[in-house]
Amino acid sequence: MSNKSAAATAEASSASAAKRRCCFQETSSSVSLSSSFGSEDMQNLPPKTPLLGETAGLVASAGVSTASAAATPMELGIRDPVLKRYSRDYSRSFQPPQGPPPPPTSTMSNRLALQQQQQQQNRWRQQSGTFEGDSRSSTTASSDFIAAAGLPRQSPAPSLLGDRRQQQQQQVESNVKINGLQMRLLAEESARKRQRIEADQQIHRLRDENIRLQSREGSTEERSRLATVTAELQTVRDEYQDYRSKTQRTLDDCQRNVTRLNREKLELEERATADKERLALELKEARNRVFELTSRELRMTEEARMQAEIRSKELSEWKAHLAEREAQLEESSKLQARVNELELQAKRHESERARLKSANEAIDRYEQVRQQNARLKEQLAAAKQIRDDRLVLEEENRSLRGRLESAESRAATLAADLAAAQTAEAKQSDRSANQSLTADHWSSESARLASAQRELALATAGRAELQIAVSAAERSLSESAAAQSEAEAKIQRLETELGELKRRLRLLSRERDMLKEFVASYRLDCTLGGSGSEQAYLQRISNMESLLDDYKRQLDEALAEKSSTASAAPSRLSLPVESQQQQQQQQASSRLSLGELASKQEASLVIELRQQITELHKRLAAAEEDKEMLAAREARLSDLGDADPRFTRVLHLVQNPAQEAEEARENELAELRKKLEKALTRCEKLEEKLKNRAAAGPADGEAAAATAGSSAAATSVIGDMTRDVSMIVGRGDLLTEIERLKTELDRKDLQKQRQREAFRTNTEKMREAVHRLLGYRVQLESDNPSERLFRISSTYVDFDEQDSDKTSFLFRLNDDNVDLLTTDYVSEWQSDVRHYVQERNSVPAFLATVTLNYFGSSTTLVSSSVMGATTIS
Amino acid sequence: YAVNSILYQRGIYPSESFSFEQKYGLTVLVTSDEKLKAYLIKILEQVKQWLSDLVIEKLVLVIRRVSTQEVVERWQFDIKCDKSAKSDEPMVAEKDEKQVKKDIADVIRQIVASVTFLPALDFQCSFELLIYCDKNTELPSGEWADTGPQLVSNSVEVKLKSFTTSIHKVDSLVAYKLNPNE
Repeated sequence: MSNKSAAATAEASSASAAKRRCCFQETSSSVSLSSSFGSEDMQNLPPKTPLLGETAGLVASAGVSTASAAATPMELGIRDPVLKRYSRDYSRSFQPPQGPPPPPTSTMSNRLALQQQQQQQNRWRQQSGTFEGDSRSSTTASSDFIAAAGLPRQSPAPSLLGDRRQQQQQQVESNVKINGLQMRLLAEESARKRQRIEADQQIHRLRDENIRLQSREGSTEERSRLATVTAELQTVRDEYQDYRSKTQRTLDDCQRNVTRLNREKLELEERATADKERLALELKEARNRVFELTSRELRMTEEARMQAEIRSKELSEWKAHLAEREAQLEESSKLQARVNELELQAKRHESERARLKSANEAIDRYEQVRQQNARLKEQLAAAKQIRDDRLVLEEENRSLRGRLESAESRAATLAADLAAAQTAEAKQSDRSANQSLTADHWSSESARLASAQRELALATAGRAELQIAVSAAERSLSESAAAQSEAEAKIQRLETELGELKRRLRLLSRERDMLKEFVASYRLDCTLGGSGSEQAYLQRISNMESLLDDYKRQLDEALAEKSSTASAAPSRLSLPVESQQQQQQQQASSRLSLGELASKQEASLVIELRQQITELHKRLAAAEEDKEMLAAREARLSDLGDADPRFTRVLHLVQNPAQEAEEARENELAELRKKLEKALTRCEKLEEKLKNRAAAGPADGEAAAATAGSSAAATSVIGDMTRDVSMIVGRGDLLTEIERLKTELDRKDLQKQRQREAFRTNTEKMREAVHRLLGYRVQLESDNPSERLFRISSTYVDFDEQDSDKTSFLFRLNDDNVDLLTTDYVSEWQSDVRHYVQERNSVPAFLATVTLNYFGSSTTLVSSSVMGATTIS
Repeated sequence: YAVNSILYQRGIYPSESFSFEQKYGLTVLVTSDEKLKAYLIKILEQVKQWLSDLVIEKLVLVIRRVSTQEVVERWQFDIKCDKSAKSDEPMVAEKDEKQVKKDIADVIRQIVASVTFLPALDFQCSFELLIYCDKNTELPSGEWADTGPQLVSNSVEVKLKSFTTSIHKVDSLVAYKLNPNE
């Protein structure tokens, strides 16, 4: 039995040793597992979470080992917010089993528990990995969203991140505390269970031993051993009871702590939920804000880019401008020398402006002269009309002269007849005694004489009338000749004046162009040199002021030196004090006087320069005013269509309607001049004739006297007109002359109208006479007088049919022959046409035949009717 | 057509030498004088060329008194070219053609209506067309020559309506002598 108990004890001890080994193995396996887990997961985890594996491994190992389980992420030095969040989530999702763990009855159960814990850890890790993946995916999604929106990546707002980080940190701390406490509780419970199991096993062993000892009755030693063992057992029991009560207290404390911590955890979870919601809202707002900020930043970036481009362009422009300015600066140094020259030019410009003004006035005067020229040209046209009238009057004069000559010849004939009659009367009176003439013959002769005397008287009266008419015509002729000569003289004078004015206009235009160029160059000089010279003057003033400051500084130094020498004077022993002071005073006074003099000179120079600048400013203002005035004038002219020859060409076709009208007018004027010359020549010839006639003297009796009288009258009229014209020309009273010419023109118009009426009346009379005498009505068919086409209709044709081609002939009169045009009516007279016109070339015979035919047929009808009437009667 | 209307309305040519034609929704008068037609065709063909080259600035119709060669009226059409359109690429019509024609018809109507305020020309007149071009414009032949602007002295100006195409803007103005018969 003892051997059995010893074996059992040995077995029990070996079993307990084996259990202890198992526990050790469990611990070492858990450590190795945790370490292996850490190493594996560290390899499998994403690069962002190497610390997570370490933390998980540490926490897992803390879940098994009691002492090291209290390590928190903060204690482990976790500072990464992402890692903290993971550890927080890990801690949150780590829910230890609520009930007491199953008693580790064996190593298998321990292993199972470890495996369960490991699986649980893996699940947590997977969850955390999922969460990590989610978070990573959400981060990626947000980064993708930002990238898709073209927004720059931006960290969240610092305040928001700080709040979140603080809350996460608090939550992680609390979770780690809870986990640590739970781990400690589990470890203590497992340790207590192990101890209880060990105590139970020891009790069982002791009971077994007691039973075995009881089976060895009688053994005192064994009884003493049993009593010892029982005492030990009692001691162990007491210790166990103490330990149990202590453990129970610790457990109660832990439970209380767990309850408190769970409460805190719940509070924290609620707070975390609220924070989460708030943070979600804030995150949303932050995202919106980020979006807005990003879009704004984009806009700002775009604007900045555009501004940068604009600034780069501006920079290049400014560089170019700077280069121009530098060039202008160089030019301004040259232009400064030209300032005086410009002043002279300005004076010259003033004088040129005055000249331009006078030129403009001359141009205006030229316009007036042109208008006057136009008026005179109109007067010339009127004079030409008068000249035409004069031609008509000459014709009239010629006819009147013919009539006068015929009247004179008739008067001469009558005078001869009268002389013959008187001779016959004398002869008859001589013969009266001897011969007795019949009373009839005498009376007839006396009647003939009386009629001859009457005719003579009538002829004399007619001659006188004709002479008066001739004299009037000659007077009007001479008047018109004088007017013509005057108009010619005026034309010549005006042409000369026109040539002069054209020459002046050319000169003025050239001068105007020159002045325009001068003004443009002056303006250019003002534009280029104005600012440069001003800057140069300002620079000069600043130099002068700096020089003045230098002089003042020197003066101050001299005064300071003076004061220092005055203070150092008592220490000098070599020179007498008074002489030293006098010398110093002299030096100081000389320096002072030099400084004052220099400052006065500089001040006067500055004042002078300022005056010059003021004057230049005034000149510049005046030039600006001139420039503005000229610009306004140019703008006005530009609006009106003036062209700047520097930029614009004004073009026209050389052959244009205005040019053609001008040429036509020139041609017309040339023709009129030729006609005028011809008329003047004719007038001169007429005057010569009149003078010759007047000089020829009286041919006989009254006729010669009348001729002499008319010539004298004509000469006197011409002389009067010449005198009048010379008076008018001498006075230069053109308006009076124009009025006179107008009156003359009206008179001539009236005369011309009367002549036309008389001509028409005579033409009608002539036509009527032809109609009645020759039996044909003659009408001018064509409007063109040069064509000379006549329609001739017989008086025996019905009046209504006289104008038609069926009852009239058409004749065209040529210079040497007459053409009969073919009509329907001509075909009716074909045989007569052939006989008279074609064969014998006698149109009058043909017309007479036609008339006789008509007359014969009408006479036959009348005679037959008369005969019929006679027969009837 | 505007030039024809001016010549008819101002009596530069006898009314018998004009015939009616429908254009821009208006009945406009067009000359039948062959000489005048030849002159206008020659000028307007060249103007068309210069318009396409964007070198033309003004087209001016000057009415002169024949006896004195004095300018009594001046019809000015300012043409402002869009220089940016000077390229070989075909232009896309930015403005409706109907609207352009309507604007041209308005200008012609205003020319016709301007007879009411313009002074009567009781004397023989002739006319001439002037073209304002860029300085560097090359002359096509010896028929063209430079001349002056031929302004009206002591003139009164009246602005007429303007019209625009996608490339050109045309402003009209008439300057006339208030008392041309004096």
